[in-house]
Amino acid sequence: MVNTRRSTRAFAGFLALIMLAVWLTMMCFTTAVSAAEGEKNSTINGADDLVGKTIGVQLGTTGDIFATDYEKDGTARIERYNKAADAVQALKQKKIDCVIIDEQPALSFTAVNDDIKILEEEFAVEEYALCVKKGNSELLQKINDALKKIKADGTVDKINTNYIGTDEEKGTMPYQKKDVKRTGDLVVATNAEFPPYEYIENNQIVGIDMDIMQAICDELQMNLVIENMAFDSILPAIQSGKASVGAAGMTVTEDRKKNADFSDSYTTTKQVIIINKGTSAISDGNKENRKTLSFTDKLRQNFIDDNRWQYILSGLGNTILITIFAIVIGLVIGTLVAIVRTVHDQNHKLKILNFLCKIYLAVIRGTPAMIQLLIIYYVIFASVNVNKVLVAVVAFGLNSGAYVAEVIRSGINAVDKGQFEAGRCLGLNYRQTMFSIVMPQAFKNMLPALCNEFISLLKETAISGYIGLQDLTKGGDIIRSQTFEAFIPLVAVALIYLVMVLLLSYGVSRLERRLKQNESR
Amino acid sequence: MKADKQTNEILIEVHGLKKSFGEHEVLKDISTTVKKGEVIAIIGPSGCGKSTFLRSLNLLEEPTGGTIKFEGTDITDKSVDINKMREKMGMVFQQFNLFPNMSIRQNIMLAPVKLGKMTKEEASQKAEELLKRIGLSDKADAYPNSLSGGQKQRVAIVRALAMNPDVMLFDEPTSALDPEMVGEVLSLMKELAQSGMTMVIVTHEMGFAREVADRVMFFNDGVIAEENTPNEIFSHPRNQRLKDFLSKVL
Repeated sequence: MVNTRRSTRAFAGFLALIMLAVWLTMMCFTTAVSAAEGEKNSTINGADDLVGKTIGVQLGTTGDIFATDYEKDGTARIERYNKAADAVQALKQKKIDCVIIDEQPALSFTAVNDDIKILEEEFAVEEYALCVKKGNSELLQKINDALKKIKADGTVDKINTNYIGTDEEKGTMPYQKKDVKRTGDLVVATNAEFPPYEYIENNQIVGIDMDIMQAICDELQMNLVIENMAFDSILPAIQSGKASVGAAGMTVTEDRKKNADFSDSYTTTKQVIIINKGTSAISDGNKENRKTLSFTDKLRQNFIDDNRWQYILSGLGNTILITIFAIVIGLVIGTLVAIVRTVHDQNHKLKILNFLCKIYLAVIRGTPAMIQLLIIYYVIFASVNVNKVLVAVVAFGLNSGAYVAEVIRSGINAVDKGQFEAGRCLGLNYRQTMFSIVMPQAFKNMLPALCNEFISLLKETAISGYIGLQDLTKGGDIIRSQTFEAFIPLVAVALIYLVMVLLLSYGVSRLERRLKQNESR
Repeated sequence: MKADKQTNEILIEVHGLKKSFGEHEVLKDISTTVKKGEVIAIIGPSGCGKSTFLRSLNLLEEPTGGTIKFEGTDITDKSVDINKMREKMGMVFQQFNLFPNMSIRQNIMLAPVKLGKMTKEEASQKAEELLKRIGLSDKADAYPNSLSGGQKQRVAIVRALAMNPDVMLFDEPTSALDPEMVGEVLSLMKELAQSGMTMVIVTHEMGFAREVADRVMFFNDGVIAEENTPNEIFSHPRNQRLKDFLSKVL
């Protein structure tokens, strides 16, 4: 009996694998086909040609601000991406016509992508500055003084040359952290998706802005603490006090000035337009080159090179950590809420607690988990510098608790009333009856529904990236932003989620079977 | 013989008991007493309030009016620990209500151990004794779902007995059983009655009521319409409703 079950299970698993393989092959073909098709000649030669085009930008960047003007005029359509790399990827797949972006990141992107180019005509010139919370003139003054000093002694120039100098100069003069006595932390918010100003390399956040911040910290004799987050989260983080300084290749604009105070500028840069090269001879040659990159080469590029598998691994660790602790918190909250609601339904006691529980259920189930996560991080824990994993655990635990509560409550309701009466008639009190008689039976009733909730929870943690937490999804995203390969990192991440969910449901169904066997002995 | 085990000590005293579910008045001003060692059978048409009355005796239904004294204590008083009182009042249900997730032994041991009446060893021994008494020793570690209805109900009875109650309340204990299993449950109840246990039994088994009960109460429309010895009730009924009822069920 058990053996037949096992082999059925094994067969189902095998079938799933086959289906997956078929799906993968189909995906490979479709990407190949779509890449071969749709080679439209780009007609964009400068800012004047943007009319009627679809422009890709990174959400909240200067490029976004400029592009928005076109959008307001109704002359162009804007696609806003969370990461510049996603915009570039969309461009490569012909989903958009061009990308407006800062010059240096554009150079980094074109350096690793043969099929896109930067238009010679620059789009706009601008200056980068650091920002601090509005009204924090004391910190602003200190930063400006430090900036003045490191500009004067050539440090800023050296840092710039080290990243964006000529090929011979590049990498020859890395900034050396000074050996000074430090008191206190300076928390710097950035968005490490913006090479060469800030990006992730070997699991560390590096770049021009980061070196400049290090130099400033050396002057201020403070410890540099870098917080990575979405670009559009930086200003809220500064305002709420989660970070003291924003350093993310930020251009000073009128809108931004309303929300933060800006330092003197530390570098000048240009906004440029990236377009597809079109069907020129060079690009055809490059295409040949790119085709020779076999599947195994791509696997190596995405996972082995630069130890990129570590992004997946550490992300997976966080995802598992968050899920497990959120399940525990969810079970505790869910049980308590379910008991309050059940006691109220049965005895009409705990009126106030029941009312609070109802509000909790309504709010949590009535709002998206992502908004809850953002509110908990940016509003509730606004002024406290708290571990992001902890924030995620709290947010997902609170979220799950509401669903678990209703699952448990319906599980309790499904237990025959006679069970409860039998317990009470033997002299057990309400609590004893609940915990030794009703709950064990309710637990069995609600296992399938609970399993469902845990699966949703596991997958829901994929939104952790929104508070800059590196979970499994974010880990895949980081690889994606470095290799410009959408397929392999995304499918790998999907497979890992799938395997985890399969394991989880397998475990629960085994537990279920064991509990059932008990009763019929 | 019946009179031998009876004493004059009053175990339960019900005075002016009322119970309504919303607008519907199920029990209308009921007063009666149960003496120690007495076996009372409650009969009556369905919906007459007999089950509600029985369930009120251990406050499974909370009365809307009146008092119930058990061993001298008014259990309707909010300050009384009803759990302590229930320890002394065993109850057996129509649907057995064994705990399906526990073995028979665990079913019997649960309350005595949880309530600190016995150690695990004592309770386990007690369970074995009780199971031996009903001939189900071999089922000690089986689970309720593997038992027949009659076996389940007998286990439910000894589960209540494990707490050494002073009175046993039976709520239609044979109504959910197949006919061939009724006998084994009734004979256990009879044996219990002969051993001197005070029992209040809501039943449709008229033959059993006649043979075993010391007193029969006929409930009709929320009141005790007639209350007498079995012989008087069954042979010389006075109340017209009782006559009609008996003519239908006998």
